[in-house]
Amino acid sequence: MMCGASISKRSRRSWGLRIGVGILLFLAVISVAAPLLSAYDPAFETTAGLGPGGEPLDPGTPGHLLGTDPKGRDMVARILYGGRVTFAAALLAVGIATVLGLAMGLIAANSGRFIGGVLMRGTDLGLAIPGLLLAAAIATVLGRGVVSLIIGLAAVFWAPLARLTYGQAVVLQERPYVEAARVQGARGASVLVRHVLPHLLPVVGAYAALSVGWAVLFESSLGFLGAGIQEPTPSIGGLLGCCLVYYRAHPGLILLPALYLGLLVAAANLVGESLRRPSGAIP
Amino acid sequence: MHPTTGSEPGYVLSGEPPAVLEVERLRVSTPGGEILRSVDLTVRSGEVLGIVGESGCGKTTLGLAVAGLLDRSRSISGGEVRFRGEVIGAPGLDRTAPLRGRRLSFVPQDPFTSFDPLRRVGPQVRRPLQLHLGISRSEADDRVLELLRRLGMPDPESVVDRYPHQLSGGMLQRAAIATALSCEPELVVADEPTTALDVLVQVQVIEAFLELVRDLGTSVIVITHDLRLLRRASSRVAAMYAGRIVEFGPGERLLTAPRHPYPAALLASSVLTADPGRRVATVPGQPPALPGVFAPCSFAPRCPRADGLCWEQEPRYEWPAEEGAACHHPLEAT
Repeated sequence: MMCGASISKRSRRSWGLRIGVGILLFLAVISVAAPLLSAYDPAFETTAGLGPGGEPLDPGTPGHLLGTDPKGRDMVARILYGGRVTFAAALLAVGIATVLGLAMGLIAANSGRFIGGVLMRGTDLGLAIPGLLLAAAIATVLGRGVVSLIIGLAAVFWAPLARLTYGQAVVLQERPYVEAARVQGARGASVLVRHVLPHLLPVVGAYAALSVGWAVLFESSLGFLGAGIQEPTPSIGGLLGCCLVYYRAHPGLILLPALYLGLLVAAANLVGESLRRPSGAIP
Repeated sequence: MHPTTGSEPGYVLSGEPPAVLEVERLRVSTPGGEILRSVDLTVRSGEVLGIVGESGCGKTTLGLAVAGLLDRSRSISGGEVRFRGEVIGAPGLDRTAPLRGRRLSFVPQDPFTSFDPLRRVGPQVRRPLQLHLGISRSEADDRVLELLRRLGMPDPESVVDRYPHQLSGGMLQRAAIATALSCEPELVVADEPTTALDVLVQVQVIEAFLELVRDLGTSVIVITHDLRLLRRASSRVAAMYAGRIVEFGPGERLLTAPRHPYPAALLASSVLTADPGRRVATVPGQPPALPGVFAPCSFAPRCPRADGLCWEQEPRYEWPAEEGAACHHPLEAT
């Protein structure tokens, strides 16, 4: 029997959760405060940001702490604003996917065999299509950009959440206190919201946190492949993709965004993992 | 046939209080077969009816069927359940939903699992009041406190703000009883209401429960295998075996001088009646599994009094009646 108190108690002891949440908060703060931290426009191309031979400036150059990219754009600004776009897109996509997945799973768990079956077979379909392919296809059909990326990622991540919700809800609905609520005369939806949903949240929350990490990686992969967010909007994937050819002469152009990406994914995974373990339900 | 099927429902025998609940030839089936095999039962206004029997005799199924709480694998396949004369349960019919929690409620077996661990106790006890009577939160809170106090709950003001895991079994069961009685229902089904509690607490809780239902005039069906509890509580008792009622009658008589050998054997195996120092008698064998195939008298395989007749002809009792035993060779009244 898991109850809320023991989750928070165990989580409080968990350093992984603290560190993960700490890093995520830090990244969120610098993303929001990007205009305050950098005076440069991340999309402004200028020769003023290039060396005498037209080469990008190395990290440590006065005025450009992390150097510039081959188009003379300040790397601090590029990473801050790019990270902001990537982070926000991943959060939004997973948020949409979570709401969708919860709704699908709960409806399927509460409807009869036919409707439940149809919904869950739809979920199977969602699980069967490779995520990267689906996201790339949606981005291509809708036109590449931030909005279609979010839609694509949400389309990838709702299915496992729906499946997870369904499985948990089916078990939770059999709990005696859910039965007790029905015995007292409470009807369907209110029982779900009061007595099933709160118990789902730790598990679904853990999976959603892990999904944020995956969504960030997906954005980066798509950006790297050119199917993601397009210039001039900066994104971590875009940063990684555009500067690959310079990696020998200017490794910072690749390593710095990669470091940001690694930090973000690691933090999301730490949070997800530390939430998952006490709730003990995700394999 | 039953006398109440006519135009004047709700009254069984003249001079008796009106019937709250009438169960007539009720059958409940699973895909594997019947688990209740024609059960007749009447619960009168304000009475406490005890149902006794070993585990697996269909007691709980009867309670669930009455309250319309059978799960998907079990359903009413014959007979009917009437509440105040109206049919609320029959094959393919379930009209219990509008009654549940308000006029008809259920006290759970295990209070530990019947409260949501993520919610405080007070709001959970208060819920039926808000659901059915539509009264304000503060008014409902006052009534909850009042109920808990009447049930002998120590310090109810602090109890309502606590979470279920912070309460003892006795406190939780009191809270569960308060939940069931909050809307002052006409009938409460209490399925082994004290089995999850330790012996001393059992007595306190059941005393408090009985006093409250007496004050409220609520009828109760107590399902139990605890004869001591029944003796304390019930005005009438029905003994169930293999999905049937084998004997019914006034509690005092049935729990002291049963006619049917099954309740007699249960009584003999009770530690209460055993002489100190002597071995406690047991009933040989196991109750038959439900659903199953039975001898005409389902108790015959375990019965010391069984003879050829019991294996050939099904024993019956008259219904409706004040008491009866489904036995070819009933024990003599002492």
